[in-house]
Amino acid sequence: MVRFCLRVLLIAWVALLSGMALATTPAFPDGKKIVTATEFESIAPEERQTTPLILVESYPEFSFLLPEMAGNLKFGIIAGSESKWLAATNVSLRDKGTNRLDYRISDPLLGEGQLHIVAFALQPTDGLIVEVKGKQLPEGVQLFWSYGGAWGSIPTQIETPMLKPDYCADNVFSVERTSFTLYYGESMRLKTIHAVMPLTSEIRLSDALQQSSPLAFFQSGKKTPAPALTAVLPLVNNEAVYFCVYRQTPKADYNYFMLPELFQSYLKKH
Amino acid sequence: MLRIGVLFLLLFAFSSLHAAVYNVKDYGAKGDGVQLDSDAINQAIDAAAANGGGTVFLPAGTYLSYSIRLKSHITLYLDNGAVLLAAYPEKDRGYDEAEVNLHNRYQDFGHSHWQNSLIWGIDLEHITICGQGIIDGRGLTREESRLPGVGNKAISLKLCKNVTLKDVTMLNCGHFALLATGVDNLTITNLLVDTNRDGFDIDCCRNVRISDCSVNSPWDDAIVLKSSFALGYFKDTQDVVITNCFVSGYDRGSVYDATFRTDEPQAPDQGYVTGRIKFGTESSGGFKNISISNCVFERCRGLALETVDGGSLEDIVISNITMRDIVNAPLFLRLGARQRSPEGTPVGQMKRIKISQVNVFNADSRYASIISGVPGYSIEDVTLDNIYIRYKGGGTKEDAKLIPPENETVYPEPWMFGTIPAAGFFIRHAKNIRLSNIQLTYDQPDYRPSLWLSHVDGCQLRNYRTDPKSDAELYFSKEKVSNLKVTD
Repeated sequence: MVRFCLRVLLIAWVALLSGMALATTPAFPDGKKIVTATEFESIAPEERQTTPLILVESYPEFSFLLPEMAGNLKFGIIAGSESKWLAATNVSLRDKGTNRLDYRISDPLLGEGQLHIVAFALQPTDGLIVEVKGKQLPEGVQLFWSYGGAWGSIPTQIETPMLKPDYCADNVFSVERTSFTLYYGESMRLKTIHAVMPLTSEIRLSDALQQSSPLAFFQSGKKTPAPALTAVLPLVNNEAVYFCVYRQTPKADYNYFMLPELFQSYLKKH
Repeated sequence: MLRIGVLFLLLFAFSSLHAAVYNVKDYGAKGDGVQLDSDAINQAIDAAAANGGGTVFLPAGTYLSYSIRLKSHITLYLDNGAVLLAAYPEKDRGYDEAEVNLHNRYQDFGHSHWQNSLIWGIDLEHITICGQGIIDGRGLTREESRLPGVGNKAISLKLCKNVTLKDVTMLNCGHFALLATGVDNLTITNLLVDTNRDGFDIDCCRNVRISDCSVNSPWDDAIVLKSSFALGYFKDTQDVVITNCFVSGYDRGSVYDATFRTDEPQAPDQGYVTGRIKFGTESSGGFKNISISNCVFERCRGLALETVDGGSLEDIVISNITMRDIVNAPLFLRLGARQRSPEGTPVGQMKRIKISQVNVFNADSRYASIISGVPGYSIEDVTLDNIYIRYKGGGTKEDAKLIPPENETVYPEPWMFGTIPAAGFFIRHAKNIRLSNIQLTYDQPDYRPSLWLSHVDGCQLRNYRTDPKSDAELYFSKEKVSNLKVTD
């Protein structure tokens, strides 16, 4: 009987320990999903193994650590034959709340105008929704976006949001209209991430080894060991366009027409 | 008076002939690629069906469309220059919703529903889709969205009989260019398919002839026989002929435009381009009495015969096959025990398979060729005769020491075993295997034994030639190998 009781106690103790191990402590108690490289560095290495995060900088570029590297979304602007990464423009980051980013972009290529970019972390899907709106832009300005670099492994180094060509190998993009599913990882351990992009996007498979400028990237061609998606779309003053990157679930299954409402629901919460 | 009578008769005959053809433009279709024409096309089908059947005619033009609902005794004729273009689903409109299927847990979503398609028919007879036109499934998805209004198949037929698909070109077809489930007396001939997932999925069908087709499907299988449980009962796929077909994994769209591009080597499943002829994976029922002949594989995976869900795969004859640039095992025979079937379904069987006159050039060597059952369940009575395979080689002495896991329940693909310890054939859990007139050559030296045998009862080698460019032994019998006979 004693032996039996000891066995039960042992089983209960092991179960308790297992439960504690399985219940991951959130890296940020306030539910923070969007972090800078500095904040990412402050997270214990073992927590980085289990915590899905979106890595950002002071300019609108996002890397998805879910917790494996699931890709990078970045933007640029194009005016005629000139183009520029948003990282190289004059960016002010306003009102950076938890899981909300609010950028204002100005640049000589935008004349007197501005880009307003607001992003929210999507809590249930480890994703992100981004609204881009132009104000007083000169005619002919285009927005560039790219996505790629889903490495499939959890980075061991501290990352900054970058589209690394080394991370692009064997990334397969299934593009349907202006949505895509990105397949990455290995056979039998396959991973996917989904995105819904603006309907006016002209999308191409491109070479992530050629990122000297948005235009160079867009025109680089698809014959490469480092495939990534690039796109350009016209910017129309005061007309918002939306970008959504997410893990698909039965409750998170999006078509573009759903994005404005999804964005508004987060805007109301924040 | 006689002249007037003849005139009336001629007029009557002419009007009868005219009435047998239902031009969709007479029902409001514009064919301008802008207006949604599916309502008009469906009205034309309804009108024809109401008159006992007829030909619904799409003249040259681009017909933007959601679901087209076929009816019995209808021929859907796409004239040269006609494009039936799948529209994108929108907020308040799209394809017919996927119907309820109580048995959908035994196969993927795509195999379990038929109505969420560009063209669909259930419980029909005598239907034909033909003409020199194009079915472009651009607005369909190959992915897993379950949103209402999303369509994922170009043509989907369930429980139909006497069906002919002829001459059309099919592009960007979503999950399937054709899903035929429980369709008997099916003829598919002279189709050109260039698509982003499966080509033809022939599931639980009897008396099927697929001939003179080209199917390019780099991101999934080209011509696939299945026997799922989607109907809610077991049914074999049997009495099938596949002949004079070309299957490939060139870049999507590049067979259709005849550029045959090779810029995109990888498939979504990370196993390199697919585009092959395969039996399985869904295999709850069985596969019986099937002939494959005179087919060309290019830049794709090898021939795969799989039964892993309880079905019996037997009486298969395959001959006159040539393959180039094969990215995994040129021949893959797998009897497995995944058992994605109603509880209690026993492990299946694989027997009486004859493969002959096969030529393979530039095959990936990592997985060699595989004939593998599972412990207690052997593949039986397989004859390979007159087979030439040019492998890339490169297998190492370390590779030769590997013992592949059994992985009885794992999804069947050659990669399920990891690198194979054989340079030619890996044979495990098999009975009565005959390899005759076999010649294996290599680009690079390969240090693995040519033939790796384990749990094999009865293996005859006759005129088995291999040139591994190394000192590797001819064959390696691991354990429990009996009745091995080698003759010149």
